[in-house]
Amino acid sequence: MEQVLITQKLSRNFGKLTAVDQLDLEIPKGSVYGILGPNGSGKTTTLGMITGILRPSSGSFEWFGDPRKHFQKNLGAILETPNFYDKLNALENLKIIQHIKQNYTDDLGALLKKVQLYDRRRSNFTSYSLGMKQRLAIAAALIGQPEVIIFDEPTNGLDPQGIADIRQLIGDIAATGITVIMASHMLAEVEKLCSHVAILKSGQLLYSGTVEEISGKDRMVVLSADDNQKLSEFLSSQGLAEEIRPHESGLLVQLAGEISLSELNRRLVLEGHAIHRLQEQSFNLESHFIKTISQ
Amino acid sequence: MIRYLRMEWLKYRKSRLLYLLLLLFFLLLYSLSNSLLSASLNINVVEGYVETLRNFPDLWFSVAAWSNYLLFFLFSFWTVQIISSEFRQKTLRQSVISGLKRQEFFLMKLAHLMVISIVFTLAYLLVASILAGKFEARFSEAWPSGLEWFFRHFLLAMIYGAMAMLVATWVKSAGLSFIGFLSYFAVERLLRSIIGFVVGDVLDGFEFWPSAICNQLAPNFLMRFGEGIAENYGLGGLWTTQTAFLSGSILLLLLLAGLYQSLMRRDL
Repeated sequence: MEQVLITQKLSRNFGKLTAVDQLDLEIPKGSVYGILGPNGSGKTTTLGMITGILRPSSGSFEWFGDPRKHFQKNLGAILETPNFYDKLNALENLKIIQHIKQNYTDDLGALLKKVQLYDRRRSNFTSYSLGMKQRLAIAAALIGQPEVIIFDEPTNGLDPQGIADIRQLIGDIAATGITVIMASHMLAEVEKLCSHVAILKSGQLLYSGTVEEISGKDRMVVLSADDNQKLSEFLSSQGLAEEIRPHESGLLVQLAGEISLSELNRRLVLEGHAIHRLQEQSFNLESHFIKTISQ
Repeated sequence: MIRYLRMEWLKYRKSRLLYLLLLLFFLLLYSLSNSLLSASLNINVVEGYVETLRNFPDLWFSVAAWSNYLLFFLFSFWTVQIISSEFRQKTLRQSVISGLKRQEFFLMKLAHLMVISIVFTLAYLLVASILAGKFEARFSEAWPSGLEWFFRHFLLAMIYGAMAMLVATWVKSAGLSFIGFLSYFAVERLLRSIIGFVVGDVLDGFEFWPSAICNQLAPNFLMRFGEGIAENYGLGGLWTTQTAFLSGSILLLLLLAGLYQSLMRRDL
């Protein structure tokens, strides 16, 4: 599959702090790529480097297979809070972006209609709400038909309606075939929108792959019995569990091998465990994320 | 270059601060120069020379001396502002992620600096012309010395602007940048003392300090009357036009090179 971005050993230090540590990423063309991680995991620093606003301390990255290409012309990016000229209105700010991209073909009115800002096109940027600023940034990112659009925490600070609007816009953009890279710590957001995910912690890549790979990777069940301690020891001693963690209803167990739930139930009952609950845990990015970063 | 100027025009055409500073520059330059020339009607500051202050080519001197101060305080405030605001409001960051190269940003601000230096220089020429009319100066003697003064003023504005921009790339706050710029000449004096203390009189014969270059481009009008008189007032000798232009041009190139490097290296 063709890659739009490849990073090699990409690192960034701020004094003694290593914000991003030897990051290797490959982002396929046409994917919706989620970069997940807790606060301070290096998501924004990574996006800062690949958009050219931060200089890597070491390592390299390559957009569209050409390290020398002036890649920003093919990118649209919304990093943290959008920053446009306060005293200018939406149309004037977008005209500046048109000059930057040297692309004057887009109909700015149509773009503003697309992001539902047309009615406020002559209001100064400073009078916009955060949601409106985000929508203007999306309109700016769409100028010049970019191949890739990057979002950094796109719904941060928005009200529920704003979140829904931005999600809808991102979904619409992804549906056109544009590659979307999105950093977030909002797992539900990533789960709903992304085809691929990378998980970062303390600047290091812990996992990368497709969402489907994650869903097929672990079989999790919630188990509870009269004596959960004894149950846990039995599962471990019989090699039935890869991993056992406490759960609010008892135990959260990652099953080993291909054992079916009915077979598991039969063996537990035969062993004399009084089972209250045996429930397969449906795929959940949150559980995978928590498990990955707690390792 | 036209594209860069169009972008800058889009950004700043509504700026009241720019128009206010330009108006203030014009009014203060007129008032201060007018006061000097009116006072010289009654007070013979320098025996035998004062009447020449009101006529060309010395009229260029009289007005430029005040303009030097106003460029230092007003013009540089604007140039600090146009760099600081881009960093503070993170609009440069937004522009870079929208596809603007840092080199393009440098060229954009250079074009802006050149245009406003020309505008302020035209304001200087206009003030001198109005005063010449008021004091019945002989306009026939205004040129070609006027051309020299156009370039002197333009170069001085460019130097102050580039210096202020350079400081603004180092310090995030516009206020602190401006204070940093204003304190440059005090810092330079301190630096010269330290150098003198550490390495002795090695640099005693060296005259080409930035402050000296700026003062030679738009010198105090008393320096026009020869070394003897100038020294009585604690001023050095006047450089030749060629020396002032050459040293000013070299200083400007060094400042622009520093500004370019600073913009290339700084995180946004």
